[in-house]
Amino acid sequence: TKSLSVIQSDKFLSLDSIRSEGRMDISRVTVDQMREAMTIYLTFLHFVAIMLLLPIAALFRKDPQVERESEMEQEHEYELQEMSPRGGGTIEGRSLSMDLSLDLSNLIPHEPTPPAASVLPSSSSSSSSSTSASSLSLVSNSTNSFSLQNMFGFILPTISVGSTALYIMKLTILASFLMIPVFTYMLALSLSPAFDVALIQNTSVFEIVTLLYGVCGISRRKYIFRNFLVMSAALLSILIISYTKATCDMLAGKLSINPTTGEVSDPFLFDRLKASLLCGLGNLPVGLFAVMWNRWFGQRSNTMQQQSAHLSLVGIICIIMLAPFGPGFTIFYDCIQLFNGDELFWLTLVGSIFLGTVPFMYALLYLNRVSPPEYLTTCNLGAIIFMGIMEWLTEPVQTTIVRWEVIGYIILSLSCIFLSMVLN
Amino acid sequence: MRKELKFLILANVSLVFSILYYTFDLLTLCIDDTSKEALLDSDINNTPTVDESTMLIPKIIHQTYKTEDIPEQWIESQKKCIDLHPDYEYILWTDKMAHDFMEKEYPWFLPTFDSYEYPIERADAIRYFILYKFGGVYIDLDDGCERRLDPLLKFPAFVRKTSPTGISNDVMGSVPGHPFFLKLMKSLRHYKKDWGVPYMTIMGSTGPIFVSVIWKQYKRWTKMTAANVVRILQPNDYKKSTHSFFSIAKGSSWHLDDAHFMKSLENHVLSCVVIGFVFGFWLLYSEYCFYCWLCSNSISSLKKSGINLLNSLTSLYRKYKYGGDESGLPPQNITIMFDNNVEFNKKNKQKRSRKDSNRNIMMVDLEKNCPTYTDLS
Repeated sequence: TKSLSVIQSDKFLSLDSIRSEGRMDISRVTVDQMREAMTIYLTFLHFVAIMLLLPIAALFRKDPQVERESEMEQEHEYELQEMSPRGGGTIEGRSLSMDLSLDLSNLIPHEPTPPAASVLPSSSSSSSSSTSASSLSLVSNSTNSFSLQNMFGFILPTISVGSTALYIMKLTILASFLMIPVFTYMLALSLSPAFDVALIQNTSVFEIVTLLYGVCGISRRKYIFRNFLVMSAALLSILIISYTKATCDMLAGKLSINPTTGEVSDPFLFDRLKASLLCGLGNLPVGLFAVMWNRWFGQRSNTMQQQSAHLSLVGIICIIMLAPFGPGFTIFYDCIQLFNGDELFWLTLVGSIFLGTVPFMYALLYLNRVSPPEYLTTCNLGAIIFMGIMEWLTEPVQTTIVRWEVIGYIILSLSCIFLSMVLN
Repeated sequence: MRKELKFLILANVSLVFSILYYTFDLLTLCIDDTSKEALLDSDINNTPTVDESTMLIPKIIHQTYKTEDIPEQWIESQKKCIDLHPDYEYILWTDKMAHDFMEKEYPWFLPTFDSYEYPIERADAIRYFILYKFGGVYIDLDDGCERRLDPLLKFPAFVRKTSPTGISNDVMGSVPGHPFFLKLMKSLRHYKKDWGVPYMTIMGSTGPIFVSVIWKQYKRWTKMTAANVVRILQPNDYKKSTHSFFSIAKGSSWHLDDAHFMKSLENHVLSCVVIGFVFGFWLLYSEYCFYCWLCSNSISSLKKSGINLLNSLTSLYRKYKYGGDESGLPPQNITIMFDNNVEFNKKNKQKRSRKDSNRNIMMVDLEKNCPTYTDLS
């Protein structure tokens, strides 16, 4: 967030500095056009970064042999009768025939061995293990033949047109839910300081995802009231932090009050308001995205590679949907040309993608697989804490810390730790 | 979908639609494009002198104050306007003049006018009426004139733009009988509402928010022509630039503590947005908790607990009214009439207490049991 904010700051987008450095003829481009182009460009890059998840997921994939052995250890205790209903249940929940063709490991539940299996008679056990072995041979074949064709199985000619259309429709819906938040986030970063945007974005996402997971029955309904109290404490601490942030800005001389009129001498006051509202409201579709993702592609039986493939396709659709909103091609090209030789610009940009967007998205995917869905919401609380630390690290001279801000961070950290323990 | 959830969703959707309905005009202010009506440099700054024949608005300057004793801080601003415009008619509307004017010209509005809680509301309201009646330029007393207003008189009406959105009512000009000011006059009664906070009440019933909302409605429902358009004076032309028409003295005399509080919120604009989000979440999650509680206690068990509660309350009431033991049954000296051998269950007791004819009464045979009794029949 900080890097993306720096990229959209006057440091790079000031027309005066561009003029003085004679980098290009900018008579054709206005500041607004340049800002708009940069916002679209960064949104575009965000979706490109999402597409990188697919190769990264393949890169971090476990050794197939090790994976197969560990699976065999688990699966030899499974009974064949248990496979059909549970596997069938999984199939019914899908709309995609691609999931069936990808690998048969989807049919095998990944949950720990049920206690009943351990007391089975040896004959039964041997028969089931032989059956499992036959299925596992298929698994191993499937696993070994992992390829792009496997990942993008939907393009296989054997898949019906209807299911492909349904799949594309699902991806398009997800893409539209993802495009709005990313775009408003980038737009807000061009209007407001990084910390403000990070705070309101994460608060908004935390709230809407928590709420929709609960209402849609994705999260567990245990100790709801207790968790609600802890969440309220976390939100109260966020409120304290946001309130003291303005006080700190004034103490640090970023804002001042006109003594005669009492007005805040902040020419960008309404820009900040606009950015907060845009980012906060614009991130609400993330809740719908999270719910739909968990409903359609969030099953643990979907492998990491499959989920990354889905997400990459969502990224591609987002890029296609973004195209009509971009400024004219010439303006776009001119703006990008500006930074051709600017190493700092590209370093910041690459850093934001490879140290920010990609690891965060990968972490979300991974956590969504290994933890209950509601556990992910704690990442947003953590992001606010780390954004505060990052602000302090990157602007040590301009950062003023007051007592209540520290109290706010302490409450937030405690709430975050508590929630991560109880929600996991 | 469960019935409880349906009700909750329905309630929330109705709430959202009601809020949208009542705040629609305010929300439209978020999209505030005044490019079509803006007064451009070519309109007001290009020519040093203005041909008098092109002026539509009459040369009258209106100002208001409660009496003729203007506070010292505004005397200079007032003097500037008068000195710069010797050929203009100048009218200072005092409270008495305003009341007399309303009584004579607009008696239908006088009850509303008199019933305004805050004097500033009357000062706001009167300016729309006088501009509609006489035309001219209204200027707040804290606005000092920096240059002649002649270029602004070429248009049928003008108001000034405020940041970040909407228009203000501190400087306005109009020809007599302009439809925008007619709409303002007619809308005043509808918008006279108490919002609980004086600042909001004043702003929303007669002040800048009211004017901005009506302006939005006017633009939406009126087909703009050269005769009925309202031109917008841009912030740079209003103050703080070399060619500005006005300079501002310390004003906002009507501001109370709540107004200062509202102003101070500007310092914490991020926390204001966060408060909104936290409140929304708190409200919706409370509903969700309530829904979960409803689901965990099924309707039949809720009914049972309701009936039990009602029974205990009835027992307590009986005990209070008749006295007796904790069971709520009438005291022993009355139950003497009941046959104690009959076993009552709780249901029977309730039934009988409601309908005395059903009581199992043990009749005493007086002829046999009372030696002094004589049957005189």
